[in-house]
Amino acid sequence: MLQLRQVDYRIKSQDILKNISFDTIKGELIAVVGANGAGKSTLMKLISQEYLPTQGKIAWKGTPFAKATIKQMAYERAILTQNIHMSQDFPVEEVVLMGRYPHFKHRPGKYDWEVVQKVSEQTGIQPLAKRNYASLSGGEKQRVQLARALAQLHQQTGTTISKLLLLDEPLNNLDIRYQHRCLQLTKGFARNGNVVLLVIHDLNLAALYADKILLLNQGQLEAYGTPKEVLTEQCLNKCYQFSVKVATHPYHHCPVVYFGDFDKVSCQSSIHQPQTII
Amino acid sequence: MQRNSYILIVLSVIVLLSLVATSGMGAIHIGFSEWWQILLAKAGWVEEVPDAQKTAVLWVIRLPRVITSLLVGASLALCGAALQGLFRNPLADPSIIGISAGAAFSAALVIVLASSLLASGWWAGTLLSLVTFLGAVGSTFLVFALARQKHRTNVTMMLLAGIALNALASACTGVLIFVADDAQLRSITFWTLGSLGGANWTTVGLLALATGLATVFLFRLAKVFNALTLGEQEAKYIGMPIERLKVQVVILTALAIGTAVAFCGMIGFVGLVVPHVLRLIGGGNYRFLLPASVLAGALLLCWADTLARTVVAPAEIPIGVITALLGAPVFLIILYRQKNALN
Repeated sequence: MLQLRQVDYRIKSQDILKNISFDTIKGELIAVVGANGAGKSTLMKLISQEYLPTQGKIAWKGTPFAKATIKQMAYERAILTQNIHMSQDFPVEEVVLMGRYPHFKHRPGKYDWEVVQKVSEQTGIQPLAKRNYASLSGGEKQRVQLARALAQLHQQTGTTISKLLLLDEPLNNLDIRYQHRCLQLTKGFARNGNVVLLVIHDLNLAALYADKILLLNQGQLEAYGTPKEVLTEQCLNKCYQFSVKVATHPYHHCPVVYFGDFDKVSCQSSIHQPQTII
Repeated sequence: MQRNSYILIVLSVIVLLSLVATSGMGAIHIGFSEWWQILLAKAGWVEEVPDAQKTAVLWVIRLPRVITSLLVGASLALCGAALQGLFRNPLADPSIIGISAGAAFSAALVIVLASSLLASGWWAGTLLSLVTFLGAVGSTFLVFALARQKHRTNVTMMLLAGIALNALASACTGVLIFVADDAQLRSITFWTLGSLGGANWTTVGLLALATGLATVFLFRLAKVFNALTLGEQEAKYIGMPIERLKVQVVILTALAIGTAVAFCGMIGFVGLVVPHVLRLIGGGNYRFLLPASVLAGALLLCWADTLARTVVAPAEIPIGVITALLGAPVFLIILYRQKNALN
């Protein structure tokens, strides 16, 4: 489906991303992980066509991005970026409806409103529909934006056009329950024959939900594969420069990652012990 | 949305009633029934000839002037709303992309350098209008050209270029004011405060063309304006033609405001306040905001001009003074009420 071949991205001869190649299969949820500055967001922006690769090719269903217009791509690709700031206030339902904008000309049809209703239910924002967007909390805003992205890619039952959903840190500001709900929802979306790529910091959530993990390290693709293949102590140690232990989840049997200084008994030193501040 | 539809219908009705009411007001009063008689007689549908003087006053003076005020008000408010959408900033108005500064400079240039010509012929007014229009459009395109890079328009660059060009044009206008004599100075001052005194059917025709084009094309962009509030990049992700919107907004604004400024001078405040007040009343959806701005802008300027020509008749107060005197307190009251509502 999505195909990257030897993609480089350079700013003034400084490599931001180097030699990135990978393929995705229909139905997969892929978690993009890596330390700060590893190039996760840049990768997402390249796949969003916001940046053009310095070298290499990106293709969707065999068609290079260079040949597809942004309007054509809007039918098949939705993108949720970080920190969306709306310059003007709208009712929540109108913000979700914006996801349907590529699908109608001037006025929304009945089906568009049905989609808005449906994705609002899925993301649990239905009680907020008439509220003003500006009055929402950070987590609620995040869910509204997710609903908008889902509304954009929603397709009528019976049609099977594979679509691509890109989410840059979609779990920001969400509480534990909605973090899981969001991942369940996007995984369900992926399973319907679509592809989901999401940037995530919580490796344990990635291990739990992602079909594949794409680990970036200083602009290079360190590892790409199933959570078991990628989340190894050696690999994570190298990327995060921090002590790490990997165990197996007692119920789901996926890897569980523990970060911390394992030489000491506890990270929480006693409050009464005087510490030397460097 | 229901409520906003009602607002639009009510506004349309008030605009039509105002057209009849304000064109009847003045030194010679024309009642509602007389108004219709004159109009029907002009259309050739009734034989009965109404009072000749009243017919002349209504047909030659009042109607062109009232319609001009409606069209100019509509243009100013519509373009204000469009620019606020483009810049994603509620403080934007037509002066921000250099239109007013370019127009003011070119008008002052004509008034000062060609004053001897101006006094001599009937085409003097046409010359002033034409040069002002070219000044307005020229400065806008200069700002636009500065902000273009690789088939894209950098909106921040456009804002900064607009501010810089405004400063430059104001300085040059200052130089012209410095060398101007008393009569020229007075002309410049009156021009910068605006007047609809020069209205006739030709100006109505040209203004209707410019306003009509701007209205038709900008209304079609309502969805794109809405999407733009998410951010430029986000709007592109939902497939909206953002670059085309920028080009269209600049061209249409230059055309509509350039024409308005050329005939009526500078009229401030309408473009800024009308969309802002409407946003507070009916929300920021451009499907409502654009048509509502057209109607409310028309309404505001129509009544402002009626006040301008009747309060100290036979003299006239500059219309820019009235729009600010009328608009600012309304704006302040709404802001005050909004502040209280938030508490």
